[in-house]
Amino acid sequence: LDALRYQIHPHFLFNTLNAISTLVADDRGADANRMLARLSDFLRLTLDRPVADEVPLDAELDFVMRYVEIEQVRLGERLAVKLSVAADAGAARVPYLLLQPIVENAIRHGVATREAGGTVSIAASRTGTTLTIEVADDGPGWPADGATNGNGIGLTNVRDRLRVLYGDAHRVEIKSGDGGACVTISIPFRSAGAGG
Amino acid sequence: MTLRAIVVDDEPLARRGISVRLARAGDVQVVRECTSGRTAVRGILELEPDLVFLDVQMPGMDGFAVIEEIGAESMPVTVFVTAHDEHALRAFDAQALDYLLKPIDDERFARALERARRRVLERQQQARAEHVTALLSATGHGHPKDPSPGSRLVIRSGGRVVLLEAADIDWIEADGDYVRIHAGAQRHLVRETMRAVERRLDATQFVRLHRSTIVNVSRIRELRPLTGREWQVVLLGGATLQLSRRYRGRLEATLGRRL
Repeated sequence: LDALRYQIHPHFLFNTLNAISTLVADDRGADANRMLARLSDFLRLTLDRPVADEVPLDAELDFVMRYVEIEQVRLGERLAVKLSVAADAGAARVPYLLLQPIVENAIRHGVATREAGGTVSIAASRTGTTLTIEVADDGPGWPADGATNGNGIGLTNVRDRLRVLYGDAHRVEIKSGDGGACVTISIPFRSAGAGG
Repeated sequence: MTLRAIVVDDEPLARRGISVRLARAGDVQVVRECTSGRTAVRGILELEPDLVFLDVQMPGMDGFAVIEEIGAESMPVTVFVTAHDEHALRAFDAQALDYLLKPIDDERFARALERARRRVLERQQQARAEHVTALLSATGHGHPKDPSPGSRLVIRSGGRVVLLEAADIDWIEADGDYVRIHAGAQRHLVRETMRAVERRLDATQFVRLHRSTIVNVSRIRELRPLTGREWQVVLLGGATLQLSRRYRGRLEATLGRRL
């Protein structure tokens, strides 16, 4: 599982550092500090060894939103994010850093590539014993070679991790077209409080 | 001298980072910030800046595509700004003056800006020199090294300054302290010596026939022998000139055959 850890994109890291550099040069010390704190949160969570393979969905989303916050400072008003999580889904256990690469893909391909920007929607719901998480963007859809040009690495890792953790009891569905791309993941619902 | 600059990057803070540093430099005015390759092309064509800071990775049209669209030789002095080392070589292929890595190092930025100032100055001097050379060659006061006198004569005729296409001139005759230029139906009386006018014309095209005549070789219709080794030169328009013995050799050299 260690080999399947999330990988930071250099482009994201250097552009974020550049944004902080601007805030410093622009005498916006407080903003720079805030951005440094967000980036440090992000680095700690991605570089440190995880304490467990699974975390509550709320914690995972909290982490994703720190990342989103950094991207919003970088991209400005071009990036909008909608979050809609059903009340009974927040406590569900999900693989640690599961959503990060998927949301990052959506921002990179669905929003950052467009001059006008776009919206990333993250939704989670529980249906009986199944937890369904959906990450959608309203961009141009993924490039045809998305699986081979490096952008697909994140998703390949996601699939591999889900297989290791849940075997056949999971599904990953990818829809990509003119109206945008949508990744839907279904895994067995297990509450964080319920234990193993 | 104030440099006029355009800053191109899809990320607002990245643009701001360049603009803030340029503002600090004091002698650079950011005339526009562009958020995409497409708007950069428009801005560069519209505003003709001295200098452009160009992000490589942008949605739609990237930095290299901007250069392709405008043409490397028509680009302002260009500094690439990129998060990626790997773009450096391509940047220089695209005749970028310099490239800056993100995050931007202030000292590195200052050096790039200093190079840009010098390059802009060089370009301006070069443009000025070319302008002067063009003027000189148009007026015939060519640089000694300039092998081709101008295709145009700038003359003062009847109180006006006339730019006369050399190719339109049929022939020229001396008239006291003046020369009279025959160009189709036009006559221009110019206060010049025959020698001065002759120097300003292409020697392969215009030949002296006589102490008082220069002819455009392409206007000669025929040559008729006269007595005493002189010839009569008949032009397409019907004018009849005289070729003196003294200048026969020159005409023969130009025509490439002996008379």
